[in-house]
Amino acid sequence: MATFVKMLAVSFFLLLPLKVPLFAQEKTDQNQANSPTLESLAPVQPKYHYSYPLKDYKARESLAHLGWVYALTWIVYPLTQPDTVINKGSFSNYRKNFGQLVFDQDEPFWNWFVHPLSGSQLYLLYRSLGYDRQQAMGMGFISSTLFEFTVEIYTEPASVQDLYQTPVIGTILGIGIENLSLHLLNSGNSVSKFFGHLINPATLFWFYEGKVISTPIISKDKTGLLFMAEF
Amino acid sequence: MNKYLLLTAFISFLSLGSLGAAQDEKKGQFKQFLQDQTDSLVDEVHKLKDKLELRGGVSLVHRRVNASFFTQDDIKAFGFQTAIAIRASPRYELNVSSYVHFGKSDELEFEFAGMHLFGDGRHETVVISPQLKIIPGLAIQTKWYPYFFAGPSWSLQAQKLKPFVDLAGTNRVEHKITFESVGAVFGLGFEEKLPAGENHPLFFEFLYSYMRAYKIKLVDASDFIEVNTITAKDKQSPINGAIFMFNFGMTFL
Repeated sequence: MATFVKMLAVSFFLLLPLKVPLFAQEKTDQNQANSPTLESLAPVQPKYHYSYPLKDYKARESLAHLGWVYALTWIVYPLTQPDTVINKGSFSNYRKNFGQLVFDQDEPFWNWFVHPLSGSQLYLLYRSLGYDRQQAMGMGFISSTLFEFTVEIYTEPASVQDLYQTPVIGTILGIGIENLSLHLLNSGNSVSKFFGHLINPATLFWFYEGKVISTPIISKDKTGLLFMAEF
Repeated sequence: MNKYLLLTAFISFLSLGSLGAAQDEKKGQFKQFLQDQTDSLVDEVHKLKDKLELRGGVSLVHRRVNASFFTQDDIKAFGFQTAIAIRASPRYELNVSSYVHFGKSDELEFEFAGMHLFGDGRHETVVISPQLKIIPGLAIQTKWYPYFFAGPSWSLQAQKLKPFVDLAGTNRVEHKITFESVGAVFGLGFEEKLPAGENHPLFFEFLYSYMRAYKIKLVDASDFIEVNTITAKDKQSPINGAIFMFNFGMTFL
């Protein structure tokens, strides 16, 4: 019974452990290459696999990644919530909120959907940089803590719910998205690949694959990212 | 005389150079020291990482809320639970758990700042609890082992309110009353005996928690994006409650 339930839960959440050493690089299909048939004489079609090759970063490099993400939060926060920043933000608020930790009164949509979703994307960003799952969770935790205690306090005090749920539920959600997106990206179908990139946009960044060019657009009327992809 | 002055100046220049070299050496030593400290810190973090566990699951909740001296309600709720844990030893674990659940209540009546407020629908609870988990190592079967856990808890409960007229005569709609509580959590659970992180061991647990409100707030939630706290009451209040919970989940990392 327990095995059945587990299989169900695992399949549902696509938590199939990826033990096959797949990498985001072109690889030859071994079966195709070793097969002693006439087909093997034909030019071997390279197969493109998506996965997360791990990188062994030094402390200084990890600090640089944290720094870049931290700098990005200072840009993304006012861009995504301009009204809140303009109406509620001030440096006197910053001083007042510094070091404060409260239960926020936000609606469930923000606490249990938006923040975990942000946490999952943060987790996926660190995964795409080459960190393993635990490291990605840890880096996400540091980044979201820095955001809560030193960026968001420009408008409101740090929140207990956000501090905990952003990296924790974000990681759980991120693991699910990671597996689903890899499944879609490796399906070989262009539509699936499109959705694979859509739910896991960190796979579009240059440090992950280098096949997609993303250009930020920031103007008076619009803010966004322009993607040019090769399928 | 001039020669003597020149010689003195030259010696001074050399000594300045050697002072600079000494400073450079000290800087280098300090840099090396910082590098060593950072590396050892990273090593420690890596060791800690191997003991880290991330768990999550779903919760079935029976929640009793005593809103004032004369009203109470039993709420059935559904939610989810997460925990981030460090396995200090095979028998002890330190974790921070969070329980979030959503239910419905129409029966509750609150006394707040001279007003009578009535509950109307959604009741949301979030509990954060640092816990000590003890694994006695007495396997009931070969596949599952029991564990006990306990710890303090802090929670926020929010109850949607029926429209009301405040003491100034203003109509209030889409408001909620929230109460921050402190209490304790303890429980008993069973976990599958498998290496964590590779096979995603399952667990189920029964939990009891008692909490007492220490801060009550009336919140205007009519603006979905930005809620506003209207009034807050910090003093001890009669709002208290208990939670009986059944959690079922798995280890993700």
